[in-house]
Amino acid sequence: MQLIKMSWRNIWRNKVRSAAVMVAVMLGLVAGLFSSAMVEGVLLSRFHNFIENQISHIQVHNPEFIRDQEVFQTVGGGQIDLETVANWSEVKAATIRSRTQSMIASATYTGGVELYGIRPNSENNTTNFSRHLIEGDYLIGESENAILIGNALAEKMKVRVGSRIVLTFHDKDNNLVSAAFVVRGLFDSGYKRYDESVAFTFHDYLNSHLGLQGDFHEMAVLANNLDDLSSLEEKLSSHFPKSEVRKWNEIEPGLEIIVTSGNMFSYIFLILIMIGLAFGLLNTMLMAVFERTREIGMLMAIGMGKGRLFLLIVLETLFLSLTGSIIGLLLGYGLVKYTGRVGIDLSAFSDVMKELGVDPVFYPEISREFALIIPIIVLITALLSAIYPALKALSLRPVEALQK
Amino acid sequence: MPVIKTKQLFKIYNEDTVPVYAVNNISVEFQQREFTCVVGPSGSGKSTLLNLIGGLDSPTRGTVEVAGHRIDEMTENQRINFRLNHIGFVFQYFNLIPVLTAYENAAFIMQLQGKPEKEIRERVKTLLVQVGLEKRMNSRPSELSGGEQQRVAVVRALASKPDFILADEPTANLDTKSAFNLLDIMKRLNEEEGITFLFSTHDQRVIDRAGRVVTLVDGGLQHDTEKGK
Repeated sequence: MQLIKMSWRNIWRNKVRSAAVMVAVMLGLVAGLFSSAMVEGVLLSRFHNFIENQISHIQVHNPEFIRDQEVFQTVGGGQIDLETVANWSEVKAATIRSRTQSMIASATYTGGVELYGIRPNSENNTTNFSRHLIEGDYLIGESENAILIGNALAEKMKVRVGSRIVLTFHDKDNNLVSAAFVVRGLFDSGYKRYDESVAFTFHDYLNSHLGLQGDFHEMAVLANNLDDLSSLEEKLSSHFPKSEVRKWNEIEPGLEIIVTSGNMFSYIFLILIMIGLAFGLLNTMLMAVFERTREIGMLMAIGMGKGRLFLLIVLETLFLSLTGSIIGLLLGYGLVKYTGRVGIDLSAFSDVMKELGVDPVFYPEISREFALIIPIIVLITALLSAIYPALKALSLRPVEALQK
Repeated sequence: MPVIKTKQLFKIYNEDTVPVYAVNNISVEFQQREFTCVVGPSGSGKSTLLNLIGGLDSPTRGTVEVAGHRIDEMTENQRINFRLNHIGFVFQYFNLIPVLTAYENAAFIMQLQGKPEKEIRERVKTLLVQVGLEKRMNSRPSELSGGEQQRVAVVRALASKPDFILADEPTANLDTKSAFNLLDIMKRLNEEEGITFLFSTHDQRVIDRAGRVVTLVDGGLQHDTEKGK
């Protein structure tokens, strides 16, 4: 108990130096936590955008379509299958799509897009697509030649809502089909490259041109709970025995790298901060030991054992680091929690954010695992930093130390 | 039986090149209840002899026996533990722990010994009263005069109930009044409670009060005089 009291008071012998170390530790942790949370927030925004706007959690395809993307490589069943799957308890929403590669043309532009035939209601339930509309209307009614294109594409094509455009594609028998569409609405998903490369029309209307009846190329399923994905995947595989059922990380392996790289960046930040913390503590404690050489000699002379002396230095290091760390962690967590609630608005850099596929307003967050591991790593760093100064103190000979 | 006994004690620096005899063949005994001064000019080996007796330094040759234990044969850890339980130290520069109060400084050594809190409280308070510091118990060293700090150091040395107290020039940094006050206290403890004191000093005020004066010159024992004999 006396050692605890002594070590706590010892760190305040040089108030300015100890306060400087504590503030440095505190600011380092706040900055580190916040930076990690920002990176995590950006990456999770990218992840959620991709899942919720584009690929969903699970997709069902004809296995050959994944490889060849031929129009006739469909999954049969259409509306009946969609209604069945959408009613499963694990499923939040599901939709079906027809897909074909096409040439899109206006008076001044010709380019390639992937044309999706969607069911507007189920699509909206699954991808909340209508929220991205910035001009015009969502697809309303059925069997119309309405089309939604990205705003970025519309600018390239120099078209607007109400303009007529022509799309050319192959039908299931490989005949070239051209169809005229009227631009019903313009969308901005937040991901420019995606907006330039896709267009949406009615499933039935596209199927009528592709000669597919009620079939579909793709079923996208959004789960209620990420923990249910494996069981849901098995259930879908049983329901569609001839089809290929894939989870999001199989559809987009790069997306999994994004998620794991978020953790990686957080740990890199943490390691850099801990290296700084370790050297700061080491320097401070070495100075403290050198300044108190005679006192340490006296302690050894009157009978303070090496174990207790070691513990004294370790306790001082711990107090020095933990005081700053606790304040830093509380402030850091508070800042992350606050910005995680209100968001960080980088609309001023929206072009860059769109290129990255990130919402201009994103929400910093840190994983529970990361939040729990930080105090442990701070503690280990402080303990490691204490070893050298403590050994230096133990190496003193009382008879020499007393003469300093 | 002597409480301290050295036999053919040497401390030689640079023995292989240009030997310097800090302590040169000293055989001496100190009995219980003695109030002894080790005197001599600077560099005569006073502090070195006390360091060897206190187990703070190791002899080049010879033996040091303290309270029946061969301190020169002990490992460093054994010596630390031995000092804690058998020897009290008073230093020239007081060497109190600046972050602890007078009471805490004195109690610290008993806490290291693992004594119960009640025993510590009773003994330390009694000793602080004996040296006239009952009103300064909660003061830190920076709030005490040099004389008061040295009195706390004496209490700290006594608190562990050592076999004897080694004091290396205890009055060197004190004014005359404080020095006499300290010497009065130590002399009273010696006479009334039988505490054994061994000083190194060249302060005539200390020498005048000593019962025995051991004079060193160039590391060797020149005179060993007991007053009244």
